Amino acid sequence: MDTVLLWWIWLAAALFVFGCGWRALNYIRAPEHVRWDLYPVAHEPGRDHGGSYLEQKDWWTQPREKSHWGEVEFMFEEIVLLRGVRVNNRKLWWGSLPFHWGLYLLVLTSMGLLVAALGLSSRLWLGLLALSGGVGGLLTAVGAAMLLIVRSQDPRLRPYTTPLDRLNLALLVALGGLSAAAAVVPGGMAEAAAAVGRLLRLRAPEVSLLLGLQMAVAALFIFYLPFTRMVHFFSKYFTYHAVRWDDRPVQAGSALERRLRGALGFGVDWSAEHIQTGKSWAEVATTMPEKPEDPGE
Amino acid sequence: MSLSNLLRRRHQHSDPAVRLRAVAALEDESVLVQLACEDPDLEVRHRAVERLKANGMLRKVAIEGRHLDARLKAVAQIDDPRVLADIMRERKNPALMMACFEHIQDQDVLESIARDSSYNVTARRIAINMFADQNLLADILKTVRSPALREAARGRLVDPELRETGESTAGDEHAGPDRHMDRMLETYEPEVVAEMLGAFRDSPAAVRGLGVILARGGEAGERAEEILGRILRHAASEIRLEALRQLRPAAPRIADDLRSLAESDPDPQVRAAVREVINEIDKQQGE
Amino acid sequence: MPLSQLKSPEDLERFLLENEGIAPRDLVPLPFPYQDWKDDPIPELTEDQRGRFEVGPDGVSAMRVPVPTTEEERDKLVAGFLDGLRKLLTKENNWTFLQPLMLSLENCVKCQTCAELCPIYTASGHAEIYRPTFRPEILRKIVSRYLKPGGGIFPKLRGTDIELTWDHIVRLAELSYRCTLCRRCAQACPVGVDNALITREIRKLFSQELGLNMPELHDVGTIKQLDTGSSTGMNPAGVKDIVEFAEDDIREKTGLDIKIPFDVKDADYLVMHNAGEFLSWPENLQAFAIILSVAGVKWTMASDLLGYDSVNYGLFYDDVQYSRIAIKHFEVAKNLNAKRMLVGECGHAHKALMPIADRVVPMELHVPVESALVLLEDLVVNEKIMLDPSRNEFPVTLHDPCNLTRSMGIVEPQRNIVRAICPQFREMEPHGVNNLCCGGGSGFAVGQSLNFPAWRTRVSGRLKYRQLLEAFDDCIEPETKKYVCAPCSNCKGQMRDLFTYYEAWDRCGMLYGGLVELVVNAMVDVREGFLEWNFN
Repeated sequence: MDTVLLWWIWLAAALFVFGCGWRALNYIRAPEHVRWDLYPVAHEPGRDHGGSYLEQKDWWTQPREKSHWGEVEFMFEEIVLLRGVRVNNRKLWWGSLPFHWGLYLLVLTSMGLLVAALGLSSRLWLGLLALSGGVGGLLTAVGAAMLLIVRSQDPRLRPYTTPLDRLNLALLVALGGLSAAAAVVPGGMAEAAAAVGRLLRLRAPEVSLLLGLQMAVAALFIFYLPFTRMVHFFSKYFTYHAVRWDDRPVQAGSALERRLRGALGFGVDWSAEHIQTGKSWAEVATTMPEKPEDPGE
Repeated sequence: MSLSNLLRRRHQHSDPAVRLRAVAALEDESVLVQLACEDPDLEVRHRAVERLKANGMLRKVAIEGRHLDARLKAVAQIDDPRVLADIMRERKNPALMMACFEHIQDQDVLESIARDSSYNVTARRIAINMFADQNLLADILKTVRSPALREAARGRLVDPELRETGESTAGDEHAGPDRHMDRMLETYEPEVVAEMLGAFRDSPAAVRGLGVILARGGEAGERAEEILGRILRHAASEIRLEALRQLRPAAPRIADDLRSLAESDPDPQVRAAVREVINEIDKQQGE
Repeated sequence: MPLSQLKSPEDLERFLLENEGIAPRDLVPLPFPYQDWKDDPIPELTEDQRGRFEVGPDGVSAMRVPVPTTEEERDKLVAGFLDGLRKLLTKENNWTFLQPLMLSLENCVKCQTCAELCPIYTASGHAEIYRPTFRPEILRKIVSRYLKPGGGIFPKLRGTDIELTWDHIVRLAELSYRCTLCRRCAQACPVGVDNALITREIRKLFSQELGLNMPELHDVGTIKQLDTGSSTGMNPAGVKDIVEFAEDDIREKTGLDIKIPFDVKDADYLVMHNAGEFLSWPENLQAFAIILSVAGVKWTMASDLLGYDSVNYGLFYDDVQYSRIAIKHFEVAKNLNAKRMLVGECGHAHKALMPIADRVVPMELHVPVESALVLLEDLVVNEKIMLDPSRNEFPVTLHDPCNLTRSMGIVEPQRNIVRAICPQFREMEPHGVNNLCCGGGSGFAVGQSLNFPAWRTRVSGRLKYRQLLEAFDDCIEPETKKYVCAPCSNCKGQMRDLFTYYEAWDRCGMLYGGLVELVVNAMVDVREGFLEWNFN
């Protein structure tokens, strides 16, 4: 059984890395897109009103100022405090906040266990991990349970929640509960640190039923995560930095200009009458369409 | 005493009384200009202006000051009319302009303002109104196109001969847009043209254009008639007269309105023209 | 179908197919003096019209999609739709928006945080078909079911249980014209998903693959513009004719002798107006001419084809049409060697000529583009024209066009101008980047056919009208004349229709207009009374 667990955990971890990497790569390798910024943009300094550099006279001659602290501040509020949900969807926020904090704590606990497996396994350290694991697990379970209830009862959310979504939340309730239990049971974190150490050396973990179950469920979670919208944990980087905060004007000779020029050479095969199928974007954009008939009233 | 005040110089102190004392002792004119332009306290600003002597510095306050009171005070201290004229060119502010003119008597400076199109029309008009020289005024009437300025010059000319020379020399260069009516009616639906011309109701040419559409009849003609009917109440009598001319084909339909206008229009020329139309209607109905 | 009956994802599909109409009683109520206001129902299409044109799930037609006559035709359209959907997700056919689209399609966590910010969803009394996530969710189901490997496996479990028919597609198409692309939903999304973008891409799919779109945007919009020079049909000779009348009118009205320059090479500013202004609000064109001439700015207009119409409806529905028009605009500027293009009072023209064109128009055609609001701010705040604010002594509020504020971050210049020249200025709430859409955005303001205008005034413009009433609640009586400053042609078109439907002039003494008219009204060099207080 322990051998099965060993390979299951490694398979899940590999798929998690591969899956997330593949999805991130899809986003990274997508062609340069047209600007679609959305204000307020966090790095525009001193612009509490959400203004942009386009408010400046002769903006193209002015030096660009960017406030990276503005971005950090915004992301902190969003990631840690879930600001947007708190302001616009308070009912969901009560479940979503503990749920997310719980997950953050579980991730930190896992990283802490790695550190413990590599040598730092003092009682204090393991005690801290037990606390973070216990609280994290509890928050995850409670938060996920609240979300499950809201999504099953609230008519605004019900039609947009699939059975698979519910299953996912149920699994997270289970994961949270198992993690909390495994963390607070006497000797639990020491056992977990030792198990992680053996896993790193490709050895069977040799764990109790409780910890084994927790690890199996955690592995299941990260196994399918890349195939779901839970990838929003890193997609958010792209939705913000690559899209809504991407306010770069094109400069002559820049890499951006080169990539955009390349895109103008892509072949178009849209079928509508007003588009010359088979030509390049540049050709289509400089060829006039024929006039259609008036559809009438 | 706050820490920040300890670290600042006295003219930057948060207490205006301290800043006021600092201003009295300051020698650096650039700092005085800055205080005059930006200090939030009126007394401090005014004291700073009073300490300035050079016209150049006072000009800076008049142009860049954030508070009108300090700017006006600076203007009052400037003794060079050319500097005052320059301020008016740089900043088109009504109160500042009046304050500058109060201190300009130099006719050469006034002439340069009147002729220079980088000044706004109102300033140029005031300058003209301050001219004494009749020949200069006649020359302005000959050479300047702006109707407002020509009116000002005309108003100041006493010699009727000089006035007439000016009128005849500067001919009307506007051929009038009426010639475009046919082309516009070929391009757009008459209803669209009627609405567009209706928006230009201060333009005699637009009023004539509405008459062209009225004559064509149809829905567009009805709309043109409606718009022309409203233009009969326009503020300018020439426009009312033009509207009346264009409404002649429709006069029997709007006879009641015309009868009311014949009594109520403030201009006797318009009332006479309206009565003439009413008489024609009555004669036709009698026949 | 009431919301309480929506229990599962399958019900979304039923809602799409079975929902009929929006009841006036569900519309959000209006404050005083409209507490007893009764909305007329949105007129239904006649039997003849229903026989010829498809409608959306609300009984409204924006696109005038012809009803297919045979089953083969329907099947072909469904197959075409799926082809188009595939192309929408390829870089070759959709490099312009592929990354943002993929991100929005793949990462929505269905939390519905966006919903309450949608003015259309809110105004309709929370009609489910207008929920910002409704149409994207239908699209996601189709993508998962038909385009992803294993799409047919466990469809009920995964919520991809949908059998695509023509009815699904045409209703989805119509629903894509029930969102003004205002992007308030996107602002709220904690993940960064943009439902407005997905809606726009749906429109694009239908236009670029099936040739189905809103006729006012395409046939008598972009196609007409590329053919005659303007979406209004105005040709170069026509524009000069109108301008001569405008000059004549300016002379008589203001006492100023202004000549509107055309085709001057090397000018500092090539001014680009929405040609709709020339026909519907020529005082805007006149006001610009007065301000720029009095301020001594070296400017020109262009009489080259497309050079006198800044409109680019392709922005709303079709990247190919957008690109064609944008390139032409820049060619005109290059030919005149203009130092800059100056965008007049039109929100979508700003977006089309500035951020979007920056990456679509080749570098060799680039000319710097600036907002007229920025230049006007400089002229007003730095006293380059003489102004007397007491001439604007009436209540004024400022409407923020979505494209200017939320999509471009141009927020303060217009406020600095209005604060300087309008002593009784008051803000609407919310305003700036959080503004409410006028309800005419994304081309809706020009949608005039069948029952779409009725939907626009009752639903998409409802919250904006309520907001205007709230902004003036201390002086709402009709005896106090008040001004809604709307520096955008499309917004003014929508305001015109809103004010007509709600009888705003008679009931509240409310007038709308642009920003430059307010500036000229305050100009000391201009005879008093440039603003005319009448609504007709």
